[in-house]
Amino acid sequence: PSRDRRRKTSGFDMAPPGATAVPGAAIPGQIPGMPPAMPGVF
Amino acid sequence: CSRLHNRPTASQTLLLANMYQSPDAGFHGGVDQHGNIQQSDPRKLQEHFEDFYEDIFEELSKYGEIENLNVCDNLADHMIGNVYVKFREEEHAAAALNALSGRFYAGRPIILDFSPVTDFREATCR
Repeated sequence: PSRDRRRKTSGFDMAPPGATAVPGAAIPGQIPGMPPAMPGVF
Repeated sequence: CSRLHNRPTASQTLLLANMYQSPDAGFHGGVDQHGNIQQSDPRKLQEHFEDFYEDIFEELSKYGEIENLNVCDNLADHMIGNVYVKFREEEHAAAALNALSGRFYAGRPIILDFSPVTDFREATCR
């Protein structure tokens, strides 16, 4: 049997659950490099 | 380890600390997500190890020709899961160091640095 078929996906760039500080990773709804919007705080 | 290892400023060899986690060790303690104690089938362990080895080899090969790749699959604390990769050229090791710093592998940060090890047969820490 081919080794490729049971080959798992790479573990590289698999961030830990809940990680927020992944370099270069885009977080949906957030502009990269911008702090999260905090309503009412100036 | 109480021995002071000199950290070279440049080397053909990189050390990726604690990178390999045996299914028998690590955070799950041999228990799967359903709470069942996993029987360590030697074939499964071997497959797991080979997958890891291939994964690492493929990624590291992007940065240069690999002369030697050693993975510690020990379960003791000392050097547990350490990966040693020796590139043919020092610049390639440096490129890999730069490229992998700050990235993650399997949910954990990659911790890597140059290593003084050049001959793995001689590289026994006593």
